Amino acid sequence: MNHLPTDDAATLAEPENEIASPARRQWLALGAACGTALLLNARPAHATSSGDAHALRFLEEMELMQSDFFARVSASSAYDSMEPHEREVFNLIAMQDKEHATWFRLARTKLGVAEFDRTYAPNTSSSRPPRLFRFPPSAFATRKKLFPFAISLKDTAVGAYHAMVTRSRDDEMIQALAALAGIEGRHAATLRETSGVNPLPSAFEAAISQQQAARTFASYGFKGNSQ
Amino acid sequence: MKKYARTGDKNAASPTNSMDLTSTDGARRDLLQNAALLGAGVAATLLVKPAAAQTAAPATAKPATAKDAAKPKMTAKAGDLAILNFAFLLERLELGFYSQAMAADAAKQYLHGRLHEIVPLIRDNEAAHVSALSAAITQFGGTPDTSARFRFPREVFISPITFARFAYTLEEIGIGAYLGAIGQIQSDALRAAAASIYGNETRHVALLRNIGGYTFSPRYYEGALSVAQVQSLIAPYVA
Repeated sequence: MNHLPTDDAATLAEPENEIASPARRQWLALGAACGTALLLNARPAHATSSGDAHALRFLEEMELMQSDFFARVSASSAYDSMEPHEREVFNLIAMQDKEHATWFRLARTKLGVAEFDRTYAPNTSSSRPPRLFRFPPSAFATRKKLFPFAISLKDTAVGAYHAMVTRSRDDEMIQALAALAGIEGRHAATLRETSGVNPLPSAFEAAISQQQAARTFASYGFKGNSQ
Repeated sequence: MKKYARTGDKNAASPTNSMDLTSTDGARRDLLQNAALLGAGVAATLLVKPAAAQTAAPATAKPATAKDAAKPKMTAKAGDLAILNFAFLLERLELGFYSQAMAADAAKQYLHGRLHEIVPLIRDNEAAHVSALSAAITQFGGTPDTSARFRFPREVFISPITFARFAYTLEEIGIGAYLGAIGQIQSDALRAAAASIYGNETRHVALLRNIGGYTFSPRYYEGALSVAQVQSLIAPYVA
């Protein structure tokens, strides 16, 4: 398996090309500071607003969908035709989306938010079939088709995150969602850059409404509100 | 020496791990400290001696998001205005850095390939952020503080490798600053504007890291920084 170079705190301590600036120690401090954990304290379930509960469910499903998509890429014919560095991009995104999905499940559980909104899905028995996402087979056929699909998926996801960040009333929830949204932005930019598409289409990240995102994802088996 | 490792292996302080209820007390304390430090940080920003800005935002930049977002409500609280001013300082710092890099590149052609192409795009983004924040501060009754001057290590304007490393680190600081403050912004419109700028900054850092040969996303979440941490990190570059 290919491994990507990283620059964790240890690497920052021994930079390959050290910047002889007066702030070297400051840079080292940054490495440690960036290790700060994502904030989201445990509170009683009733302290989580219905809007935040919905956001957690919505984004969790979105991350599950993305995780599924990017995991399938590694088994596709498009993947076989990729350059090693392109594969690394997809591998890392698949890994991080899976971690995002895990984070949402844990966050939701700790906040006492049920997996399904009973307003919309009163039958939430354990016999409910697992989520199944479906993507057009053509998306995985060639590199040329794969990248636009992946970029579209990521761009929509980034926009959906930003809409949720804007809507929440909870400081910690806002920060936690923003922390994950930032990584989604990194994914989107890198996919664009790798495929030769302008990675900076705008100086400002646009929010995409939940309804719009749900409509975009619906054909892939995404349920959103209606689950 | 470049180190190679699976990105998932080094996230000792990952959000997933930190979701343990027993480990979040410290996180809450940090958040509260951030809130307290914010006021102090802004005060320190205002103490910067008045002087002509070394690098001014180009008048040609015409952003829309933050400016437009600021229009519906004119009820920003003092804390929001302070956060805006701090963000304004950071964006000016980044704009100053990229502007100097482009000037150095014009003289010495030290940025090659994709770096040479991407830096002007990032600089334009930063200029748009500066203009947007300036407009928002004015609309909310504040005065954009353009007094700070910036200085950067000479090496970053000679070597593309040191440039890329410095640039992405500067961007990481900006991201950490936005993330540290975003939950404390009271105005919905301003929070949306800050989030939209923050999102763009995350794209910058991914690009710079990728082009510089580093993994574009070493963690699966962005790290927040307190105002005090940010001030400490940028202090050597702000006069």
